Amino acid sequence: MTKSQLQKKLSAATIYDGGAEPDTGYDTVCACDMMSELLAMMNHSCQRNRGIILLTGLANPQVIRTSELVDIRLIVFLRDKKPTPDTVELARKCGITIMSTPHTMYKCCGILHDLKLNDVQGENAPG
Amino acid sequence: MNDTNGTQMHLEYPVQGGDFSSAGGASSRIKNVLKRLGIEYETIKRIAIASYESEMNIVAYAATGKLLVDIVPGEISITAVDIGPGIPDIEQALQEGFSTATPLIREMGFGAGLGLPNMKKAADEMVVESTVGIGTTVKMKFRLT
Repeated sequence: MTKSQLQKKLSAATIYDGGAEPDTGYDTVCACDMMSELLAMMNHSCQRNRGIILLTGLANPQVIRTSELVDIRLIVFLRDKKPTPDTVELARKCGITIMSTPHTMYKCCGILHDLKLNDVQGENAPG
Repeated sequence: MNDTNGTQMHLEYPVQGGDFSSAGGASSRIKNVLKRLGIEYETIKRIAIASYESEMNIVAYAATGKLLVDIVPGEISITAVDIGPGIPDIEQALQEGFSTATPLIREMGFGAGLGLPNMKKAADEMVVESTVGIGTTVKMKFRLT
């Protein structure tokens, strides 16, 4: 899935475009509000070179920093959350694309699951 | 590649307690050094996770601290040293879900009681030493195979 396809499917607005897409496109999803939980999940995953989408209701700089450290290049903020200017600035420095969708986490997960994107811990969507 | 080609290196990164705006910066720099050395992806990921959790612990709980990185052939170690309140019961602190985090720390997405357990899972070896009222030292080793 490309960034523009994702934007359409989630009715999302791009806040900052971090540039190049992964060769595989975005094919894996992680939905999480706790950054320690995200780090725990990433520690168990083997997602090298996969394009991971992070769905989160948290919109502060730590989300960007956490994503940078585990090589997540695309973040979607839920329920129209707007990140602070320092969050956008850190996304720019890290080259991470950030979007905002009006949908809830549940709805976004449902949409992306129906599109057969993978779970971050390696389990594929049924298909 | 998952070795340092004979490179030996010692690096130190200061971490300021309470400075949430810079939190994670030291771990980001450590990750970039390891990438430049050509360390294997999976090892970099484990080190980045452990380093970041330990950096967040210093920012969240300590007055000040630093991350020390020692790179020798076959092994990388990360040592997080802080001057702070210390940990009264280390075994309890290592249990998943135990947390003394403030609401501010939770707002940042941390404080779920996963920090030290995450560090232990990411590292091949981890030793925690702490003195109440003085501070805490966490030594983590990552083997390069």
